[in-house]
Parts: sequence; structure tokens; C-alpha cells
Amino acid sequence: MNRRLTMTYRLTLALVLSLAGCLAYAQSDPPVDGETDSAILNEIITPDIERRRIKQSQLDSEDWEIGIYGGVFSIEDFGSNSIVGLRFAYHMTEDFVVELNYGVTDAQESSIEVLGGGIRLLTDDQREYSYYNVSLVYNLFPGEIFLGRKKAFNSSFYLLAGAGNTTFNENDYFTYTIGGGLRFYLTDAIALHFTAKDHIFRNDIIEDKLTNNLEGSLGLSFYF
Amino acid sequence: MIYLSSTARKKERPPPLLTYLFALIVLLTSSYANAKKEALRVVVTETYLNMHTGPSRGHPVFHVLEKGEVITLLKSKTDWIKVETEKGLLGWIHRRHIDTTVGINGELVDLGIPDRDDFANRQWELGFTVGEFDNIDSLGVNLSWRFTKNLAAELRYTQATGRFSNSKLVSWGLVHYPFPEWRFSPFFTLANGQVDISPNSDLSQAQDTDDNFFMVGIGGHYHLLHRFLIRLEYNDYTTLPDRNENENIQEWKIGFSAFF
Repeated sequence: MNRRLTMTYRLTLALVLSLAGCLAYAQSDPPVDGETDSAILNEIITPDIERRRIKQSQLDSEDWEIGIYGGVFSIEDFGSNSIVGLRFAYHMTEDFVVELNYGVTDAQESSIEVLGGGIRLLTDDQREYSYYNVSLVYNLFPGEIFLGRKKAFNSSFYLLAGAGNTTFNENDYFTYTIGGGLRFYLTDAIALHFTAKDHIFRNDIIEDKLTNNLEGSLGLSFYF
Repeated sequence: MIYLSSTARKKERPPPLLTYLFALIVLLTSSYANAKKEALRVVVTETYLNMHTGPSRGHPVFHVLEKGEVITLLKSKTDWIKVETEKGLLGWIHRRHIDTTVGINGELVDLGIPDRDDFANRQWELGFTVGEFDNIDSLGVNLSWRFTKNLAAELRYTQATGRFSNSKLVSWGLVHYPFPEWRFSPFFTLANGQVDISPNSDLSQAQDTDDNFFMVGIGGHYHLLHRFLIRLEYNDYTTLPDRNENENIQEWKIGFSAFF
């Protein structure tokens, strides 16, 4: 009991003394302004063992992809026409990619219009066809393509499925997209795409039915 | 809807899209060329490290790095990092192995795979959803920014395309996360916005409507892996049309987002 009291006394004394010492120091040498104050404090407190870190932001990443594509688009009952489109994608992991597409084309004349002598199913404005969709891409067969003995290009055969919207006949249609393709890397940052897709949606322009609209395209993409 | 026309016209449309894209690509490549970063050199501390020929687990291992070797980190592609050895050999190493190296000046290397901590500290969320709005298939995008621990501002665009009507919704609101650090993190939404409902031109002759709405919702985030989450939500809309009575519309959605 006695010893504990002595210890408490000593500790209190030490604390009071150190506090007094601090006060005396502060009074005897008042800092000129806040800046010098903090400079002194920094000198005393900040340990000199701060280690730099190498972070993600210091490394270039090439996970985003932007590209254009062109090819043939076949609208069920309305012939085939050329298509141009935009691709924007984010490579999430080595297996999965999320892709946004936007494409435009024009419908040709249907058989009824060609043979029907003056019958027109759609106006010119209604023949304008555009779509957008968001797809999940799965890199099924990543690999390399060899060109002769010395050259190897990275490649990936992929499958995709998605949903989106089609504007046709001056109307919107909810559309499912399935397809696949081959991505061929010319360099780490440039790739060629060979893609085939089916755009599936229900419409009743000729009759109420589910239509399959096939697209085949060649694209060029840049990674950043 | 068959109608007769005497003139068969063909209209040419200019492709402004391509012009914009080309400008964008030029811009991107030029900024890319300017952004030369300082070389990141690290020392291998594991007993050995496998170097692959490409950025995937399937690419063959063609070289093995030894402990103490110095390598330069060049770029990353998903979970793979392209490195160059002192002798100029190029190859790819998985991110989790880079995390066990140290910088040439003893720096700590922090290039690991985003985990639960990053999820708990997520600030931006960008994603898309599919679901049903008033029993019609819908597709949406959402962007949110968490500005305090529990509150985020969110912007959404949804398009529901049905056989009889098409709805386009834009909404903005507040999302409250009571437990943002939980792996399954519930949230509550309060939002308002505008819905533009137009009839399907094939079938109905109804009028276009453009109404304001108020929305309350409940949902949850589930941290999947890396920087990705699944979101599930159920929303209740009260539209405030010019007509007399209010209308209630229910919506559910499932979505996929990346967080940063």
C-alpha cells in the first residue's frame, strides 16, 4: 500500500515537473508566429522513416478500350446494308469485359416493296436503324496467333451477351444481343476485332414476330 | 401500316460520328504520348517469379525471375503487369506477385488487387442495370458519388421499352448507406425526376406524356470481387401528372457496377 502511494506520488511529481518544464520552455522562448511553431514541432515529432509508396496511379493501365467498327447488317425482311459503329469497353479482369456499342444503318426494301409495284411499308425516316447495347464479354479462348517463326500476336476468342435498345420504324424495341468474336492484338494498345452478332427483338412491321438481325463486322480498337 | 408513295427517294446522311471519333482518337493518342512516366523499378523479394508471354494465366511461362533481380514495371492490363528485366526481356507478371516486391529505394509497392477495404471506401460507382419498370423490360445506367461516409448523390437514366409504350426516365437523388463497409451493404433511395412515356407507334394512338415523379427505393450492394459489385433494388414511383390522381409504378432492377 505504502509503495503504491510512493509510486503514485513520484509519477504525479514527474508529470507536474515535465509539464512545468514544457511551460517554462514555451514561456522562455515564445515562437514568433504559427509557422515557426509548427516547424519546431515537426522537427521534434515527425520521424524520418517515411517510405514512399509505388501506387497504381504511377503505372499506365490499359483497361479501357475505344474503337470503331464497320461491316454488314442484315435486317430481317429488309435486306442487308453496311453498318458503322462505336465500341467502348472496360476490361474488368482477364476473363470479363463490359462493352457498350452504338451502331447505325439503313433498312433496304423488303420483298413486298420490291415486287409489289409501288407499295411502301416504311418511309425514309422509318428506315433509319440505330441500336445501342451493353454486353458482358467472356474471353473464352485467350491465346496467341503465330506468324512465321518469330512473330506472335496475343489474341482472344470471346462470347458476348447483352441487352439494349433498337430504334427502327421510328419506334424503340428492347433488344437482346448474343454473339462472339476474335480480338487480335496488333500491339498491346491496338487490336482488331472480328465480330458476329445477332440482335433479337419482337416487332410487327410485317407480322408480329421475333426477328433475328445479323451483324458481321471488322473493328479497330485502341486501349488506354 | 402500309402506305403508298409515288416517289422512291433515297436520303444520304453524313456520318458526323466518324469525324468525332477520329478527333477523339487523335486527342487520346497525343495525350498518351505526352504522358511519359518515370520508370518504376522494383526488386524481386520472392524466391522466384514466373514471367508469362501474355496477360493471362493461359499464356506460357517463358522465364523465371530470381530473388534480388531488378525489374521495371511498364504498364498494367487487368491483373497483369508488363515488366522488363535488366537484360531487356519483356513479359507479364500477375499483380499479386508484384505486391511482394519492393521499390529500388525501399518503397512499398501497393499494386494489389482491390479488396474489401477499397469497397468500404468506394467513392464513385458506375454501372448498368436490367429489370422491370411497370412490368416492362428496362435497361438503365447509374452514376453515383459518395460524398460522406453514409450519403451519396446519384444520377440515373432508365429506358423501358414495351410493346405498347416506351418510357424514358431521368432521376437524381440521394442514397443513404447505413453500413457502407458491410459486404452486403443495404441502401435507401430518395429521388425525383422526369418520365417521358410515349406510345408504341405500331399499336396505340395514345398521347405522349411527360410527368414528374417522386421515388423511394430500397436496395443493396454486394461486393463481388476486385472493384465490382452487384446491386439489387426495388423502387416505388409516384408520378405527379397534370391529371387529377397520382399514379403508382413499381420497379425492380439488378445491376452490375464498378467502383473507384
